[in-house]
Amino acid sequence: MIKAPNLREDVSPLLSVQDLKTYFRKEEGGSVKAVDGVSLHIRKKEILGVVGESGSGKSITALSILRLFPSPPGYIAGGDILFENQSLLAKTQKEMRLIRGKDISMVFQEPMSSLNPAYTVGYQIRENIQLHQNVTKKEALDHAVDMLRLVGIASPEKRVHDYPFQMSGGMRQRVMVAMALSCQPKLLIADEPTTALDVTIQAQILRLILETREKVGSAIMLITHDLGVVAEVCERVVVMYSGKVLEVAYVNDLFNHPAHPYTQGLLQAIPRLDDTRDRLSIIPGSIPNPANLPEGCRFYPRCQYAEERCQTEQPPLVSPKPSQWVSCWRVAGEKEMDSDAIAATAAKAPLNV
Amino acid sequence: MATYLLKTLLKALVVVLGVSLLVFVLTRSIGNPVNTMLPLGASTAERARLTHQLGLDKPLLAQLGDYVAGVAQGNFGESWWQQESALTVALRPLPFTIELSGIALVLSLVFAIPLGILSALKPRSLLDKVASTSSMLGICVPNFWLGLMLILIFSNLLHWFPTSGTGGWQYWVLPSVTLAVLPLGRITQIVRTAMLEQLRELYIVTARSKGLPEFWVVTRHALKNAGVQIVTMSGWELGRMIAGYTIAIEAVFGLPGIGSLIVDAIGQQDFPLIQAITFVIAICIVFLNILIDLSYPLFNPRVKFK
Repeated sequence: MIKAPNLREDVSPLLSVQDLKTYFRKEEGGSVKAVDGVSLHIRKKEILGVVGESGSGKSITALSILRLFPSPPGYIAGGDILFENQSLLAKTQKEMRLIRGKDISMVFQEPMSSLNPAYTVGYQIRENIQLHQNVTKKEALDHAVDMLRLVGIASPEKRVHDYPFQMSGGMRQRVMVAMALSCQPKLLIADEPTTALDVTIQAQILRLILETREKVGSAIMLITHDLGVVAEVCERVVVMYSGKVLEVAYVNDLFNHPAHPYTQGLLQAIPRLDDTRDRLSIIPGSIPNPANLPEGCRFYPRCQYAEERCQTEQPPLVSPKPSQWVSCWRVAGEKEMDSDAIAATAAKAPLNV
Repeated sequence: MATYLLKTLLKALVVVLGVSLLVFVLTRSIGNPVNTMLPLGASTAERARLTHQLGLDKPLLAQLGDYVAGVAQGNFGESWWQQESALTVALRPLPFTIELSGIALVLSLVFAIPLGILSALKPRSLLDKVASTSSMLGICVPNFWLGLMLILIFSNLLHWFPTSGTGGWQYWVLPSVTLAVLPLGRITQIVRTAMLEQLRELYIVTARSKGLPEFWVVTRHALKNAGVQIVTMSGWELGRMIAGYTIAIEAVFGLPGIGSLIVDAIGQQDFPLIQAITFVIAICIVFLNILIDLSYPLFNPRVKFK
């Protein structure tokens, strides 16, 4: 597997999500807080992993960046999303369309249903190219063939005329990657791109995304629930839970010194070859219903270290050491931070990681 | 493709023959045409002579044999009522009926497709509610009543269009509008349902993520996939109109369509004519269905003809 590139000099964020709140209005009144105050950032050419279980708000965060979450009922209840220092939330629909597919593109979880069955893959890639580049149909199709070759599809000049139903899941995901990278986006959002694929294909697609990224030079926001994938390809990781960021850290720090009880639980739940235990350890309970969230820390009902304070007050994101951010009262309390200091760091978090 | 066409034509032949056979049996069971054709005081001898002349004194199987032999040669016999070739009489109103039904279908599609799409884009919006209610209304309103109301308003009160008959384009307006209302309602609902289904698909999010304008996403991506359902429904509606659904409208507007011809032929108990008309309609419907089948690959590349 390709090793993650080293830290670069240039650390100005490409994308910065600040205290984003994406809620879904319920018919009977009130809102479901799918994303509730998420802050994260991605540097140029960086691979950022976003992990969390189903329902943690990873995908909605991604869709919020492109403003593609279903709306209504979805709406942005607060926060901001800055891309190259410009607010994406302030852009008009037309301005957003110029960014989608060109500066920010996306690969989805389900290759079987994310391509239009009624058009050839060539048409679908060409559409993206023609939309954002001033090229003829012929040039766009040639470029589509090149992209298919780049993602390792054999005899691309023939395959470009195939319909999605004539391809396997792995090939369709390659097509999706080819399409997403066809305009050299600055940011590629890959939402569980390998989850629906066979294990052998998973590794291929992952390698493909990384290799292609090397050529195209995109940053990647890799959404996954596979910590193995994160360990192999990401530079930094954001751990999400129930619409909140619980921990942000460099991959090595996260795996060697996880600070949040949830992250610790996740890591202990990974089976290891040298394991002598009969059973894997688990985190008891399940992710809270977003329609009925705990008042304090979202993880409180499942946390073995839960204290009284966790039940009533939401812990802020604090930095116990450089480049690591944690939202847990055990960490915040240890540092004996007063509330002003917490507020100050929370406001900056986690931009200065 | 050639095999498919051959198979389809064979199937079509079976259908048309079946329909003809059924109609043959049914006509023989609706009564004795001799009663209708002769004056009340006709003598037994006269009745016997006519019965023999019409060939109705032969056994049923022999009559069927004559009929099949005739049809095989394209001969449906002479219309008892019109005194000329039954097929010629049956074909005469067909162009008019097809034209009227075609205009009505185009008219309903022009409104149904945008209306259905807009309803699907904003389900439960005011527009959607208005569209749903009015399409339900369009389905429920009896068309003869609607025709009469339109005549009352646009001919008698406003004098915009003639009340009845045929002629220039003005004569087509009220009948085709009246005829279009029901397919308009049904097709609007089909478009809405089909589009709602497609707009939920993931490939729509992919299309949007490429930065496609919403109009493209809806028309090129969603509508194309909804095409099979829309075309099937439209073809069905057209078939129904050609098959004589136009009867009430022809009566209201005094039009020479196939619907009124069927009614007259049945009233006259004109067996050869009834058989010829049903044969012609059956051919039309079968042909229409083949056309619909052949259009499917335009919307769904997975459809292959074998």
